[in-house]
Amino acid sequence: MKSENRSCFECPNRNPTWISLTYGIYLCLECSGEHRRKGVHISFVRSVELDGFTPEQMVQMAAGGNGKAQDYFKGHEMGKLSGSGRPVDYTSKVAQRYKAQLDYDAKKFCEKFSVVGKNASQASNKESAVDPVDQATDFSFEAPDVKALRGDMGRPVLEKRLLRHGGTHEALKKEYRGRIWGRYGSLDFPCVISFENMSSTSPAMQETPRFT
Amino acid sequence: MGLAFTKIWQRMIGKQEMRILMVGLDAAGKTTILYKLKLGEVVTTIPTIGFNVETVEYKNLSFTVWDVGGQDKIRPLWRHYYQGTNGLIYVVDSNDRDRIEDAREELNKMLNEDEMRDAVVLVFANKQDLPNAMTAAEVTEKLGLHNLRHRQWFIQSACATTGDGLYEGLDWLSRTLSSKR
Repeated sequence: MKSENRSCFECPNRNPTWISLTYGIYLCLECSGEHRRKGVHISFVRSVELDGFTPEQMVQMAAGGNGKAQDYFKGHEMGKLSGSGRPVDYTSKVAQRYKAQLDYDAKKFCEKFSVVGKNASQASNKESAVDPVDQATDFSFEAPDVKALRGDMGRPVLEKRLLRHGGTHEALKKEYRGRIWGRYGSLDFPCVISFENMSSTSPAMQETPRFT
Repeated sequence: MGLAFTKIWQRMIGKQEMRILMVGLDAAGKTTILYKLKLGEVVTTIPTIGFNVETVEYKNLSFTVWDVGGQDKIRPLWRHYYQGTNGLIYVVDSNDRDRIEDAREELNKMLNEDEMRDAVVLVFANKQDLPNAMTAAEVTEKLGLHNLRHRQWFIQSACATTGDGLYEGLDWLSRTLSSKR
């Protein structure tokens, strides 16, 4: 997980496992309660560990993150890193603008790479589901660069997948079209889409899917 | 004889015990409702991981209310609470239009379970204080409550933080459950 997401967006608590999908931020349990009280029209809160996610929602989290949001709100004198330490006012115009930008970024990305979601509750209610897309608890997508794929961990996995798909990247791409693979726990999945070059201000994202 | 007398006595002055299961999607307001009923206060809640259980005395009934967490992956655990349930309180976030369909699916799934066949259903259309909240009639329609067969159900619009509607809901539960006995 990216280090920026290792502490709660609102407070100093470590290892947050709750998120606000609306703002693409990671929250601790207590602050998630605070966000839930605002209502889903202001902040839609989910648990990274106890909920299922659609690929779109995962893109939303990857496009967001605590660092990006903190930078933005700091620039508007809000949030825990700002000089005043004033809590973010999620009903403010400033916050609305961030939300709109994040939604736009995520939507563009989904369009560009044909990320098509399946129903979140369908995905999550299968108790036996082993699909890493359902099980991912880490939306940061920082590992899946070429280096990781060439590394000891990534290479054999990728090669196994390649063999299963007739050895061509095209076949692999086709199979996993629209699906996001991330790093989950100690398992190292080749990630189809890399977010590493994402700029926090540009409306259109510049990343391209990467394959070795 | 003694046992019969005890039973009659309990009927007259004692409280009948009712097992109530309270479920619903995450962040619907279940825990807030539970503690509003129990303490009369709005408590500061955090997401429920696991369950809360409290007894709430109301009229001639003693409700044991089980409030079970609603996060996606812990919903399959609801079924472990079904057995012996007299009444189901299903809490809906009336403000969450995007997930009302999920709420419908979860409710239907639950009501199809054999262990739940005798349970009466009280739906709280919660969070009526929020600007874009669906009315009880809208929630009724979107949950498909009119399609329920062989089921006593009731919907009550509510606002857990002010307490509006909560006791009206309990009234219906106590009336319905008392007459079933």
